[in-house]
Amino acid sequence: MVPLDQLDDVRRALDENNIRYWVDEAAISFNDKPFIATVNLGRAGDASAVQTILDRVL
Amino acid sequence: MALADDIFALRDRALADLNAVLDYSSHTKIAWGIIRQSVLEGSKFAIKGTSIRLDPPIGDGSSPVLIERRTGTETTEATLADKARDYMNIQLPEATFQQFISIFEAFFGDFLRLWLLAHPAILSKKQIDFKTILEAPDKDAITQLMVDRELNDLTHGPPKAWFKYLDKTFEYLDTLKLGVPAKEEIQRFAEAKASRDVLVHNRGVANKMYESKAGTLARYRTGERIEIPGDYHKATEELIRKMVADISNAAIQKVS
Repeated sequence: MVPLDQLDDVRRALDENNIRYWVDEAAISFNDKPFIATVNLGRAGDASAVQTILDRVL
Repeated sequence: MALADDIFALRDRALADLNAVLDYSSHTKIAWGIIRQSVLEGSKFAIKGTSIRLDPPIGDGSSPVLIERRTGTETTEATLADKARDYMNIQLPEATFQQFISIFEAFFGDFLRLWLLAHPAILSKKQIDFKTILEAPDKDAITQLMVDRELNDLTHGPPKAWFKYLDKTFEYLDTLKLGVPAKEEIQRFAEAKASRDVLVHNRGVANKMYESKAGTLARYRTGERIEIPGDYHKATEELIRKMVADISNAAIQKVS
């Protein structure tokens, strides 16, 4: 789950690292907080590896 | 015009069914998304129902345990939020993807049934045993039987054969093919239907039959677990929507 204003950076990082993903069309704001988008990695997705990549760029 | 009206109705019903599945998919994703976020925000909730028991809080008292009596599955707010990810990304897309294919199959079968019943001479070279004729109450019943038999044989074959047959029925009438769907669309539909077949009949694991049915558009190799990513899910829905509209509109043009 990614704040909407960081989504472009996340997409760029995933694309640059050839990570397969897709983003849900709907972003959700809960209790008037910032909108959150959901990035899906699929069954084969390695969440910890992706987290490492994102930690480097965000 | 009666036939054209019937085709219009078929088209509209299939498109409305697609809309309903899309709405269900979209709303369900949003609902699960709200649940996930509410749990991450620290919200607490409890559930009471005929099949779910709310146990006394465990540990530090902050995490009620829900037990599904029929499955024995224990769920905390945290595990529910975690499961939501699979529900949204895997189970929901797979289920609604299967519905897309089913909607098209129903549309195609009903369309062809309408077409053949309106033009039964297309089947004039088909044979039927005399016993069946004797047992039928009238000519309409025999025609209905022949059409059902024809559709049953056809729809158990590959999608490529469906559309080839469709073209043949139009050629029989006016020597002009229907002209839709495009070859590339038929190939994409064949791959989608092969994916559906794998989900339904092989626990989602691609096999040789999948590779054969999907042809050059196969997305997976034998032994791999197939997925329905968001972009593929969307593209399949759009393809089926287009095929329903194109087939209907082209046929209506020919009968109007």
